[in-house]
Amino acid sequence: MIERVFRWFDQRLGAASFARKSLRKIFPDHWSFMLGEIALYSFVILVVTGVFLTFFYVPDSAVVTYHGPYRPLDGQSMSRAYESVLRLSFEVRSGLVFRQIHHWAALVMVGAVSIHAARVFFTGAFRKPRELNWVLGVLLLILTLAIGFAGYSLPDDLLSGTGLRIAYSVVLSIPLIGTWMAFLLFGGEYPSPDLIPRLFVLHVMILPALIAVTIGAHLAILWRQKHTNFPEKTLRPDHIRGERLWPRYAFKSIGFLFAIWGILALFGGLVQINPIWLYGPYEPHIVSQAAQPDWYMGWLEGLLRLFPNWQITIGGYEIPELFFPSVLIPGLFFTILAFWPWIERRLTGDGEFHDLLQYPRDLPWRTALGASMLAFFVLLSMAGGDDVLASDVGVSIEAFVRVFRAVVIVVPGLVFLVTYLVARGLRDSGREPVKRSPINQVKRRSDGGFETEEEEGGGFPSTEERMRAAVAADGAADASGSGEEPKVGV
Amino acid sequence: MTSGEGPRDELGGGRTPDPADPADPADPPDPDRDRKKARRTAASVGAAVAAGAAIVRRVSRARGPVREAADPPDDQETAATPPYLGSGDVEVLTGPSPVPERRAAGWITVALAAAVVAGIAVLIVYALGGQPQIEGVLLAILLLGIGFAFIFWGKFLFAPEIVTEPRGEHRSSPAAVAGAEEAMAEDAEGITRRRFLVRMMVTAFGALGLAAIFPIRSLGPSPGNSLFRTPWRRGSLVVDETGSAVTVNTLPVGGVLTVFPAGHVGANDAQAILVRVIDAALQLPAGRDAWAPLGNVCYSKLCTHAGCPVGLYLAGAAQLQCPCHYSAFDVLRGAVPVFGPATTPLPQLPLYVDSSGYLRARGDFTAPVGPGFWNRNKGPSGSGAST
Repeated sequence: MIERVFRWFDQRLGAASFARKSLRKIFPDHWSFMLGEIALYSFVILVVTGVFLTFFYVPDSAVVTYHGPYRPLDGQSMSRAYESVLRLSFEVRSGLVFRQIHHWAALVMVGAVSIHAARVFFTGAFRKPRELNWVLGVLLLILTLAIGFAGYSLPDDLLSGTGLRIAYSVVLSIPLIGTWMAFLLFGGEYPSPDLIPRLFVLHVMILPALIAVTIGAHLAILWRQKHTNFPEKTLRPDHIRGERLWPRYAFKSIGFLFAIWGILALFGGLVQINPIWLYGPYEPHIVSQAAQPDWYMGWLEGLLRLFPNWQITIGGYEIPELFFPSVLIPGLFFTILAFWPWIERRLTGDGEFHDLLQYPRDLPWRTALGASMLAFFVLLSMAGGDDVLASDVGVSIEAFVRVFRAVVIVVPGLVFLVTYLVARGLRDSGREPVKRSPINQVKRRSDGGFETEEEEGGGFPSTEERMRAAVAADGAADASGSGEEPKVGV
Repeated sequence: MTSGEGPRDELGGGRTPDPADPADPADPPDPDRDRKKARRTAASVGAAVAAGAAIVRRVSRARGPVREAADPPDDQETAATPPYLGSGDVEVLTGPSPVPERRAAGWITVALAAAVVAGIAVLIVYALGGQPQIEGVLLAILLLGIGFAFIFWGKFLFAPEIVTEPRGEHRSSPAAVAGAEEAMAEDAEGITRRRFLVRMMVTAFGALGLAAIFPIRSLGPSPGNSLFRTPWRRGSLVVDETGSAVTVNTLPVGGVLTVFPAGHVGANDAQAILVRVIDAALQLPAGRDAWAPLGNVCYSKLCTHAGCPVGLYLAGAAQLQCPCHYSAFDVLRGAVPVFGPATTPLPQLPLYVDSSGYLRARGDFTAPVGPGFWNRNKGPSGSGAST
């Protein structure tokens, strides 16, 4: 039966050779290579649960009076959007569990994309020839943040409404074009009745389509270029090592997909997330205290809270204080991130092809930079909850902010220094990154042969370099044989 | 695809013949050759172990290093050959599953059975009216059951395999590149010679681009002077959230109230916060002395930092605080910012008391309300630059 279906397609599409190649494709194995999979599978479950939610959500800011099973809000006036989310949560069967799975999956997806990006950064996987996929990955990170923000703004509750208000102010702060941009994007002065329908179209159509297309390109390029390998003593730089796609790897990966969905379902059922009925409907003159956005917006919130009150006035025209922490710094960050492969290449002068990854120790300054940026973001996210933290610690918010302004600069600096020294020390110690292979280091003998060397001997250079050198030496020694000189740069 | 109760005999025998490394006919047969191959294979098993294939590690522990089926070498550790493959070599390492097939099949059966039971249960719960927590847990069992069944199946019912093969070049061969360039260059004259037409085509695309930009203008109204004015007018009656008029004595000293102009309750840009302080303590900027009758001083409630409502009042310090980013404003001194990221004072609403004791506005706020924008100090005429 399967054979007949297969034949039918092959006679029309000639799919057999592609299918054969694909099924035999090799996928290197390492736990950190699963992070991208988590992001992808979260996206799939987001689409599935999201489609269900669209059947009940009403993108309308018209004011209605609520009468429903949630008594505390009975008789309250609210937007139809907010009311529809209440109905979805309390009256639609399976509505709440799907909504909560959707929200948890969103949080997990942003996390997975971020950590995946960090993995690629720390292992140098973005180096030639994989710069394109790095740029697409940064784009995916930005799109994921945007779709997350648009999504949690849809219920039109007090917390998200305040977030939208800040987003409007951020756009407004851009010099020269800010006022027009804000009015065009938000449909007029905040709060405009056009805003909720626009966010809805963005969240369920434009951004998902962009993400799906970008993921498609990201995977197609991965397929074409093949996955990177961590260096192993026995792996040539021009070889790939792993499992074939079919059947073992595919079974494990499909299993992983269902397992992630299962964990998300567990969270969606048991762990409350975004209980908008507790926040209440949005009203522009009401605000809640100790309000924090979803975790991935925390660093921006922290930046806004900590950044000093600088305002520049040029000839009577001003650059508002909000512009620097909310537009300039994030803009610079994502620009540098997107161009990082070229920036690093400029700094290291390394223009070679790389199919083998680096261990974080192999390039200490990059690792130190990445670690200090991570520390910066964690500290900023903490500052985003400075009111809660200050009251927990028992200090005034003023004192907390003053201290934290120094902390977010000094601590990442220290993290840079310590990471750099540790990474350099590890690199120079010659110890293997992980106890990998029982085979000892290979040394070339003067007569052209090779001999194994005990572990204590000599330095252990960056593994890919060592591998390249050894292979080149081997190639020279074997050249009399097949004459196949391995094409590897040094 | 089989994996037996016991280890397979052809361990390591999957190494495919190596077409890229044929024995050179000129060379005499190399007695070391077999040993060499075996060495490579053994070394790769070591790496395979490290790559997380616990299965292979188990095999190599149980049976010693994986060996070439044909000719098991005796002294692998001293083999003086590089531990990696030759260029173009393909190597397939395989071993038995670490878990007996029957036991693995048992686990899979349990996982799938749990999934089926949970699936039926979730239907029943749904039919009975649904319950989010139970639905979540049952869905989780259903999905995790399927997931673990797949993972066990993949890990234990297929023979583990670690394949090493050449990656192939990323770039095309020089011949292919030349061919593509040639194809591109074919009849290129038809384009390069037609400079005028090319320019016209570019211009036409420019026109298309412009035409595509204009619909964007429909997305929103012109900012005009809407950022510079609010519904407050001279004589506007001050009312609270419910629409009741506010008198000069509605608030006790130390009290605060969110107020609007009558007829615009809830309007975002009109929201103002009325604070009652001791009259004598006020140190308002020059010219504002009469604006706070009996200590009723009123400011825009929109924070000048990011536009959140300035919803906290610290009566002791007479400070208004914004709970979004904790800018603080000194109520007694014209709401100048005293802490936090805000740079601009909250605009003040000038008040007077009418003959019946009600508070009314003398006019609009002293400045545009809310967060800064580039031409805030220049007035709406400045926006002409961007129209």
